[in-house]
Amino acid sequence: MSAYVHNWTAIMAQARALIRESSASFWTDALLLVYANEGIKAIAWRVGGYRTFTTVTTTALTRLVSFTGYKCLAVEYDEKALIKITPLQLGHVPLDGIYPQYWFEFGNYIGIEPVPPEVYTLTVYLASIPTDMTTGASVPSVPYAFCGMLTYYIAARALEQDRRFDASAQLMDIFNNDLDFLSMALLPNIPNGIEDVRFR
Amino acid sequence: MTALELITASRALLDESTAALFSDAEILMWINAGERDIAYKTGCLESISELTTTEDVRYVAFTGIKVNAVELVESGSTTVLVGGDVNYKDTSDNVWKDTTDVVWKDYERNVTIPYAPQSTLRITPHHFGHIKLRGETKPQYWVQWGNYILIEPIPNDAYTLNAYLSIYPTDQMSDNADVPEIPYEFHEAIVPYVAMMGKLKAQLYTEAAFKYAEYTILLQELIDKHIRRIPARTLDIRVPDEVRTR
Repeated sequence: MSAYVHNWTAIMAQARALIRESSASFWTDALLLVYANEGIKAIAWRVGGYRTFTTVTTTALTRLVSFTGYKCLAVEYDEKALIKITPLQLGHVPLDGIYPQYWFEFGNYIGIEPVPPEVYTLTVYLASIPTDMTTGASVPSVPYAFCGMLTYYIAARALEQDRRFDASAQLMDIFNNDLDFLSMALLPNIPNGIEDVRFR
Repeated sequence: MTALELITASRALLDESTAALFSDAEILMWINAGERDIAYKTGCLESISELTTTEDVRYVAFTGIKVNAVELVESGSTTVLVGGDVNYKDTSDNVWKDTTDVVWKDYERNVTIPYAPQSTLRITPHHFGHIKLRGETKPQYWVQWGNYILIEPIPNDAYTLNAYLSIYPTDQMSDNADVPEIPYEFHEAIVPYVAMMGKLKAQLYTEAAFKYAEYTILLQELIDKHIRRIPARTLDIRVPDEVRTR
């Protein structure tokens, strides 16, 4: 037995096996790396596969706070989750004090209701943008569970480039199915209900 | 199944008994990839990891794929039920729920019992601060976020948690005698995975799609049989009418 390796070298070897080109000829390593990084981003933006949290600070008398990521999924202030609203509800929701109580996402901004009168620190829970792999030792930012399906994505894009569209479509179908399967298995945050803990 | 048995079974499906289009190294690579894929999709490789919270920090890092449950362990904390006394569940430490059930009335011995470890409940980040905690400061709820477990309420001390995790295999097979780390009942799913990868390489895409469908159906069946946990109901343990004695 030897330790599992999740890096770009290992992923590329699997992708090259599928496209039957064990070393670079028609497809350069650099090109396959472009496809791999594209696949990682597809996983991250389509299902929110790469999740992080960070803090952002409000500016006094400014509603919007910028964030970096595909999507903001939740916002917390002072150990309490803010309630998600839409911009249409601004000024129409019941307020209890001057502190942040509601939020909405608009572009790369989080809007806070009520408008913060001073600086507050918020924790934001994000579907984040993964960093690109650059070398053979690079490891994808998305969880290991999503790394296997990258092989299909890379091969699909490579075959598309070679104008083998049917083959490419088949591989992309497998990638899409895997993405559905894994995202349903790993990503939903469904709270436990009474049915999970009571003895019936 | 050993790596060699898996290679042989895969070669049979690929109709290539000795290496030609598919080298043994390549098939072994797919076998290892298949093992990981099965672990990721089914969560079949299970492990319990002891984690410790940090005071005033909501998150605790873990290593694995998925958190299935989190148990709060109050290690070193015990209470003594005294022999000769009648002990009810509402002892002064509030560990036991308020009930008149007698839990210990041995007339000679004392018994030292641990504070009952308790499973915490899964929530979402939207619940933070919105659940009535009734003054409880110990971890009550959790949510998985990336490779972290977020705790509600924010721990006011270092607490020990048992995280029931699905993890990924750490080692891959390299010798013929090596055996996958995933449980034995999941080994059979590796073969259709390898066959699918072989068909893709052989550019037999319709056959590959067929094998992929077979593979995912098999995984779903394995999840239903071995992974999905459903507690027994009263219905499951009652004595059937026909054998009930009068």
